[in-house]
Amino acid sequence: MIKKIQFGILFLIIIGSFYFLSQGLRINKKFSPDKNIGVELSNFSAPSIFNNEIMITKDSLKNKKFYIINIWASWCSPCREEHPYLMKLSREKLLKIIGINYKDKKNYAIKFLKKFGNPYSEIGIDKNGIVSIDLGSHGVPETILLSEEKIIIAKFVGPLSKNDYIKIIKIIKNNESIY
Amino acid sequence: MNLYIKKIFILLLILNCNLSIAFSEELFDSRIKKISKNIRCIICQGQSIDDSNSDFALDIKNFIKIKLNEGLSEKQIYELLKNKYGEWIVFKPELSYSNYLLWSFPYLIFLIGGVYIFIKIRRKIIKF
Repeated sequence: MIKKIQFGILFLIIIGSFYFLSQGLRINKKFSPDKNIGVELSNFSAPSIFNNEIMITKDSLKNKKFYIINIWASWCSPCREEHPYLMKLSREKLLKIIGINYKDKKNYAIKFLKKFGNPYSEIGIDKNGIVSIDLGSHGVPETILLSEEKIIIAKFVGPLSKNDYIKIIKIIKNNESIY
Repeated sequence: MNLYIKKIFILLLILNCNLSIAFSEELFDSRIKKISKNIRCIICQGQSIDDSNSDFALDIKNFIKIKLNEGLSEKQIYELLKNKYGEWIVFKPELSYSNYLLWSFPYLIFLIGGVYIFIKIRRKIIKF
């Protein structure tokens, strides 16, 4: 009888262990940038591309209802892909776009803007990738949409698509926030 | 003779300085490596920052180096990165309400096993 009880307990422990460990397999192991939504933007500081003495910081985001921080580089081809959408977005009166020029050469960056247009109100230089890490970015291009209170509303990893553009416009037009 | 001793003394001093600089640099690099090994490369999932040569991994390594130079501790760096990228960025999760069972599980099994063996041995001794 005792042996049967012992066997039963052991069996229950094994089954319990398998059930408990199997729970770990259900955890979503893919990182999603959505985790940052609703979180306040971290502080950052980047020297302006046009004047090294001026620093672009979180405080540069002012006087508008929405802000976009776009991480880009002249050498990044997906950045060219999304550039027309940024140009269109720059016409929105409620929105201010700040660019972070990632690991780029200043003259190439300026040439890029001359060729494709400049959608940015201000551009900060990220010489060694640290500013991007401060912003919680994964690479280039990346776009962060922020509310007036500098809360992250949406994050777009990779080039902005037409759907992303529509989503941003909808948020701005409706003056809504999804956080 | 006196001059000769002085020269040897200066030489030893320089050697000592060089050795201590090399040692502290090595110690610093080993700290970067230790932290990098526990940081997950989000772009190249499955690899640590230390294993990867992606831009993201290089940026994080650079970030760690700067933060260590600023005097931040290992724990503070993990906290900073967790705030930016979530708990998932760290390979070794911290003990929390959601995973306390996972952390205590091996100890629990060890304890149950220990008690079981103890009871068995005790019974055999009594019988003997």
